[in-house]
Amino acid sequence: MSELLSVDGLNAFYGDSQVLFDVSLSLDTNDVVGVFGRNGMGKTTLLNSLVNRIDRKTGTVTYGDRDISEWSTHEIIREGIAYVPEEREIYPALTVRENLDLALSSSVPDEVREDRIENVFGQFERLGERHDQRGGTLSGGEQQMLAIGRALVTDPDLLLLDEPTEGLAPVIIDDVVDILESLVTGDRSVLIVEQNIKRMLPLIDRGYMIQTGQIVDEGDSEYLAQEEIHEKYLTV
Amino acid sequence: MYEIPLITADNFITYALNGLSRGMIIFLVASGLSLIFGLIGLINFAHGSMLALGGYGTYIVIQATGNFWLGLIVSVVLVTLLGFALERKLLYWIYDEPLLGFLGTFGIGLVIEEAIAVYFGSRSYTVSSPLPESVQVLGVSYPSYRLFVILVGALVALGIGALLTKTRLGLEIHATANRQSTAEILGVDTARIYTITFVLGTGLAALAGALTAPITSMYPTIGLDYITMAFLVIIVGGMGSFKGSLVVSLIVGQIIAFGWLVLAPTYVRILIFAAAMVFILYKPRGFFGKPEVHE
Amino acid sequence: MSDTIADIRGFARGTARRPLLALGVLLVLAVPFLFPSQSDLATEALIFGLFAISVDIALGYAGLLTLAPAAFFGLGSYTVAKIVVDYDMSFWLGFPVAIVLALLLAFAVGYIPIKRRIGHVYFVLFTLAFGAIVYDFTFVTTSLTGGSDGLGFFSPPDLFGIDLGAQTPYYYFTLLLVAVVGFGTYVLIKSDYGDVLHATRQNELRMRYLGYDTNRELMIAWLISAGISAFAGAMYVGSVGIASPSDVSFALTGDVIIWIIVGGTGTLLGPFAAAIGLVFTQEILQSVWLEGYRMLLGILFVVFVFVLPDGLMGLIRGDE
Repeated sequence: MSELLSVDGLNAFYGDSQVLFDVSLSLDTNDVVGVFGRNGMGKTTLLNSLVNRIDRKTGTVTYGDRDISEWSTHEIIREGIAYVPEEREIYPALTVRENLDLALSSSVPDEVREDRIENVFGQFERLGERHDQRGGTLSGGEQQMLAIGRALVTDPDLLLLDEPTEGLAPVIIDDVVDILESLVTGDRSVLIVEQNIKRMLPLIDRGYMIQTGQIVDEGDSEYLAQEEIHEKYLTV
Repeated sequence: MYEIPLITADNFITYALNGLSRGMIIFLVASGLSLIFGLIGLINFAHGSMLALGGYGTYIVIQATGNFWLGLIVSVVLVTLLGFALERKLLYWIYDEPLLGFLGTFGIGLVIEEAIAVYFGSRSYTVSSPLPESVQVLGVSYPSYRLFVILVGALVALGIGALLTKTRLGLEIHATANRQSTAEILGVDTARIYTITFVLGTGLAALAGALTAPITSMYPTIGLDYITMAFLVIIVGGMGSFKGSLVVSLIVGQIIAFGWLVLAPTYVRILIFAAAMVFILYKPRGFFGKPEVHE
Repeated sequence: MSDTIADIRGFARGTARRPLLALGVLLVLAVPFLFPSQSDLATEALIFGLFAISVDIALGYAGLLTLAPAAFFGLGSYTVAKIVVDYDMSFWLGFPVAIVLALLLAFAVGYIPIKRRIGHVYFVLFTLAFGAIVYDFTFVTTSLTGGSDGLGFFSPPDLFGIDLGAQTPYYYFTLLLVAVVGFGTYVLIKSDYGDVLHATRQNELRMRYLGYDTNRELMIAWLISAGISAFAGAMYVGSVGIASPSDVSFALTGDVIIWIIVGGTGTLLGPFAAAIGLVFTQEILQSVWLEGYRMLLGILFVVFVFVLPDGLMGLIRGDE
């Protein structure tokens, strides 16, 4: 398997305060990798700095064989990376279909666009039923589906997921985990950051533990399943 | 004191058409300003100088060729290119700082206005109407050129309205205006959207300047008067709301056209400005402003 | 390059500070002897310097970017002219009346926007509208303001047997008042009040939790700014002898903003020095290129906004 994403010596800053310290990690093609840690440990910042959605960073991010450290956000996205933000960030005044259409680059031909959108509607029937409804009228779970659908519609090689279960009711978390299960089996690489490690372990191949902006442990899903690791890095 | 003149049906129509043509010019200025503010959050004080350049540019071409239409096209194209260069080379630096954005565009506007004053002096210029004849409308004889202005305004309103609501570009503009960082993670090149919007807004200002040249006289600071009015129009209409700037521009046009029957024009202006101040305080999002519009 | 700037900075702040200051004071005192024909211009420069200080209080310390400073300046000059020319009363009465009127007007205009915290953008537009109204009003109320002719002409009266209508005495009179008011402002800004204003700009929420009525602090700054602007306007009309619409014009507002940006916002001395420097520069440029001097001024301003947004004083002071 070849290396798809590699992060080397990443430091990230918001204003004057440093949030990430010398973070290095890597992800192979078709790998599903998790990064776990408590709130405020730098998980979201990690994803944001991969796509340069941050004030300032140092270090290198290599994607495929290109150094994308200095690229602007939209260039990185257009290279085949999709990002599902923690807050969903659905456009409330746009319809479900417009939200999806927006994510498709204008260079995608019309027939393909229609197919891609229909695929998403096939996968998420609730979205298909509500395709003309405004994003703001969707429930929390539906918004999460739309956020994931907005990423899938681009048929990405690498999917970045920021706390996909955060803030959802337990029943809906089950739905979302089902969706994620169907995603990770396809030929696609996924990087998930989460607090809820137990629900993610069945999905991932490998994972990292993050604490106060540093990678402190790593291993395969079996290793990360140990209770003492959870207690050490995740229990509040 | 003023006596209230008798309004006959005929001059009622004439006033209403005057108001409409004036409202359309204000709309061209206000809509560009509103696009730029709504999207970028920039208080673009250089907007008025772009209008002045549009008017004076038309004048120069008329002096050289005698052709108003050529002047209109050439000046709008050149000013639009200038807008492109300004946005790309200077303005994008200062988008993050609203105060610097205001000061920077204020300075650029000052330089352009003064450059016009250096070249033309501060006396005012007029351009003769390219359509001097009148036509019968609704039973009154009305200057063709003003009807042309109304027509252009209406076409621009329809065109930009369709652009914003029906096209891919409109979708990207909406996304960028409402949440730039989200648009970026959906692959939208928001810097490009900023440039397009700024250039489009500038083009509209230049068009307003060129169109107004045969109607009003031009002086170097003509833009300042227009943008003061236009700023207040977009406040009342709702910052960033295209529909709002159209509706309020047309209302203001009518108020100016009929207002002088009861009040001196300057008092009409004062009343409009005072109304805008009240709006800023109590209804800062105006009539058509959306709660999610750029702060 | 940066070394040179650091050197200049160190020089101006350290060893050379007192001698430079003394040299400046001497120069200012000696103007009528060194440049007798330029006393009027020097008077104007001092007044505009004070005007710049007053606006810097609002803009640089309270963070209220106003586009209506000329309204208060003009109110000062029109009040004095009205009292002397139309009511035939004392020149001296004009000063307190001008200041009181300015405070009342500033309170009426500023109360709601400051209380409701309408934000930079809206404050700019609010004051733009207010300034435009005052300007239009000045033109249209001919019986009150003389319309486009203005109100004039008159000369300031004798004071202790000295004819203030003459250039040199009025220069020293202005110098004295500008020094007193300017120094008073400096003391105020260096006091606890200045610290509170500064801290409010940094983190308003924190100041509120600490129990400060930040609305009141900002309102005080806004009132002081308006009062001193009117005072400067009152002195100005004594010098030129006529109140005219240019005293309330947007061009004057533009000038004062230029002075403040070039001098450095929130430094008092910077805008003061820049105003004086630019008034003289303007005079020199005017004699060289009458039509173009304002364009050059504009270019200078643009350079400052884009290259040195902290102004000259920021360059000298560095980050403090």
